[in-house]
Amino acid sequence: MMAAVAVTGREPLDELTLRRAQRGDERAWRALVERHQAAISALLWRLLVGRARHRVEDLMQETFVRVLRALPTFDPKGPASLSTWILTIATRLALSELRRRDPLPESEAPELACHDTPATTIDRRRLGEALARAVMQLPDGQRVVLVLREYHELEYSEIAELLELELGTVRSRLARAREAVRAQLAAIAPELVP
Amino acid sequence: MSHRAPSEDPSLEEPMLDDDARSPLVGIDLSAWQVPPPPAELADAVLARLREPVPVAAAEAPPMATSKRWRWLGLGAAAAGVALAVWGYTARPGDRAAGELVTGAAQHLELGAVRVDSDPGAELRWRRAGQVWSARQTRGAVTWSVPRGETLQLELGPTRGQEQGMTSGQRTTSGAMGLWTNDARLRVEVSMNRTDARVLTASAATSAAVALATVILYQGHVKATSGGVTVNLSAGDVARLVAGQPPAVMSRSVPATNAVVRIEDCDPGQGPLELYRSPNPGQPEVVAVGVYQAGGPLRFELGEESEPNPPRAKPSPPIAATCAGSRQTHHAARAGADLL
Repeated sequence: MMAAVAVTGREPLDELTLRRAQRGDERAWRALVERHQAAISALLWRLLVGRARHRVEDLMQETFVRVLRALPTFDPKGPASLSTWILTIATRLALSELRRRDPLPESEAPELACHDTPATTIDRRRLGEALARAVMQLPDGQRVVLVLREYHELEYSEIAELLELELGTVRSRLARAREAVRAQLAAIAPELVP
Repeated sequence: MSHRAPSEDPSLEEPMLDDDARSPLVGIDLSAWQVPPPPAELADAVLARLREPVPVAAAEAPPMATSKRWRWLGLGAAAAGVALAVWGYTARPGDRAAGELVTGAAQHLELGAVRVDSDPGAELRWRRAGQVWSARQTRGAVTWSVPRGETLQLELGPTRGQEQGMTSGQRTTSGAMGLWTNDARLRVEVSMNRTDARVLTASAATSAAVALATVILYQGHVKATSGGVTVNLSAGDVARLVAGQPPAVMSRSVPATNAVVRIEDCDPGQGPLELYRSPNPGQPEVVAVGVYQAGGPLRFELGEESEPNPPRAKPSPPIAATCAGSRQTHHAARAGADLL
């Protein structure tokens, strides 16, 4: 199974708050943003790693502006949960951004990729940096599938829907992405790979 | 954690679980890759931006899925839209009143002498050609005030191109719906309502959606067209327009009161909401019909608000509201009271 990865922002907004947000209630808008901002921030950081770090904050704003403007049309009983719908909007903004930008020179990338806390152990820090670098090397199509599955726990079918891909394509991209990341990790920090 | 719907096809479920179980990343702590927390003022910045109206193109949420064929059609429709917009801006030098709007909050617009008050979520585009305002109200609720001497030609519901933005699993049925007036004050509510019909596509059975509009005419006169049939509406009429069907005039007896009845949190998913007087429980007289959209609010205006703080109407007759499909009364009050 997947490695244990903290996923935030996927608890559903309570129904009343969602209704109020759909009616334009600013307090409910704020609650919605605050509920989902951590997940969207993490998604954009990981998708844009090494490519457009300076655009993360702008795209976070843009994501929520679009979400809240389109919120009256969101159907809570529809095929997508609110969190998946928001992830869809953020992902498409990120992919659009990636299409406009070339990769940064590799020498600039590592310090952009990983955010440490004082409690971070040396090994964990090295693993984090190695993961960031490995994901950074992935083609966009593999990177987005890997991040959505491993860090946001979207179902394969949800990823296929979101990216407008066949289910088989999602599976094959994910398999290639996982292989590539493992190979990169083994090359960068072999002692950290079981 | 969001809900995880099980795959509808059991044959697909097991291989994907195997994919995860056999992942070469099993045993590697992926959470070691930490990223910075979001900025503290994100919500403030977002709300500040939302207080400004923006062009519709910048506010569209992407659809969950569209096929490549629809994508090309969408591009074609977008190109046609751009061409139309360019035409609108250039066809009459000196007359450049054209625009598009999605409202995140209630908005007031003045298009020349025509006043437009939109509810949150309404989507409009318009252009002026001579003395005629040509507009399309794609969704949401808008109150239009068209003074004598101005002409409004209003199309209702999404265009073909916009229909491609429906979420996967939904398909729409089309049919031109529109209004024409040169002297009226009216409220128009547009929504896409799912139907019980099942439409078989190449891949799956999907629910259908039809454009539905409710027109409440406070003053003046309006020609309403749908399903190829045009009817004349006069002050007090409430009409329901469904794509592909003739207009249905629901009421010609809206009481002349100053009441504004506001209903919130009615049980959703029940379709049109009816407001009625019920002197006789067996024969309720429907006085207004509204479209209930995912949480409302839904406002019935039963007459003109002639003063900033209009006096409440006389407390008779009783007014009640029901969700269509059931005669159970969810809220009840007298005219002039807020139904909350």
